[in-house]
Amino acid sequence: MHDENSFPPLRDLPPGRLGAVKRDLLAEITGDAQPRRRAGLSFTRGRIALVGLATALALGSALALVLTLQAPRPSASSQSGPRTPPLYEPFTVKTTSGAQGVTSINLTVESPDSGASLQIQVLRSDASLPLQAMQQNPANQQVVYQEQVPMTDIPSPASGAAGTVARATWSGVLSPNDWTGGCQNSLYRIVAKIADPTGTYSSFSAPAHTLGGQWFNCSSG
Amino acid sequence: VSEDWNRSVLTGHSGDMRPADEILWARVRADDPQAFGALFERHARAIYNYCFRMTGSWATAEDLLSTVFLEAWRRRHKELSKGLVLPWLYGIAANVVRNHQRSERRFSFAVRRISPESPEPDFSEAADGRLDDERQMRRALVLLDKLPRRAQDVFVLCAWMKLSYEDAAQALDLPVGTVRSRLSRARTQLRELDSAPRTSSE
Repeated sequence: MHDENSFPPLRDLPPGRLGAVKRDLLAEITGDAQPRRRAGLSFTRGRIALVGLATALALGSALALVLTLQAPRPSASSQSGPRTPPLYEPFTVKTTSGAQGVTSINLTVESPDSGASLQIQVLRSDASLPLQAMQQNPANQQVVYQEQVPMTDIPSPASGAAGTVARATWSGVLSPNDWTGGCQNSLYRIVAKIADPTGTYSSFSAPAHTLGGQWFNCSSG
Repeated sequence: VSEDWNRSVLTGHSGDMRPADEILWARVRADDPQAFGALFERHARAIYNYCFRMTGSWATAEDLLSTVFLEAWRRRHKELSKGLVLPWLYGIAANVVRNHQRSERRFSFAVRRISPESPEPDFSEAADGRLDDERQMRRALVLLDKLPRRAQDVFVLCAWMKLSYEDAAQALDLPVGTVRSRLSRARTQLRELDSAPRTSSE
């Protein structure tokens, strides 16, 4: 106990668990952003809640059964997005930096739809702006780069429910010289918009999926 | 964009342009889950190890890690100054662990009554693997449990997690002077307990 410095060393989570925990965490907060009740219920209130929950579940199950029997099953492409966490990495951004700042950005985008098209955008915002103003007002975000490219269908996609496995992919390398103004002391963000197979480039105004990276400062100065 | 269809090219690059915690937190406050994911990746290890040091179980620590970050997301509209994100997460973790221990107290008590293999704790024994960690940690927690709860919190954050007095004060919402005095008293008490004769139940 008295040797505080040599006590059990800091350990990482077991292999694969960090990603798994993060995936579950993000699925929970994006699927239900409502506050979770953390305080325990009293015994009486807990019983009332349980009875209510059981009643609601019974009614809900009956209703769901009726709706399932009557409604046509929607196709995967008509769904707004997977309800379960994807089993792939939809958007990967890896940067390489030098003394002056970012030198290249490797991008990988994966889509749950085959035949999908992709629009890559680089957004720039003034680093001196208040963060809230930058985040909430699109007028403070300037598109300094935009390109549309087809995605490549994956010949043998992994098995899994529609919407949870990648069926098309695209990889590319972006350089700060590619976008207007190059690498400045500004905040940048990479955004990927995916149009599903039924869409055209004009559908990027309402893409099937929009994926955004984190804001970063391009210049190290 | 120069297309590169060989995905293996994308591996091996390491990004070092990491936005500061406060920038990420501003995104989180604007309901950005990706920024929250980045904060999770950055601080998960620290919170995971803190939870382990408070519970003595890596599995429990992993469960509590999720709970801590879910609670952080629930409270995401809180304004945090520069450098205070991690101390604030430690503060949440302290509360989460405390709630867990409260609900698991009877179970935990029963587990700890199962005598460890050696009645003489040996903290100099090298930790070799997670099981060794847990065995050592449980022995240490037997001693730590004899301190007042507030002293335990300060000791774990400052002595085991190496937080500064200021950060621990932020995490526990205490004056810095209180942290110093509690840590000092905790160390003194632990030295006395560690050198005292032990009963077989320890």
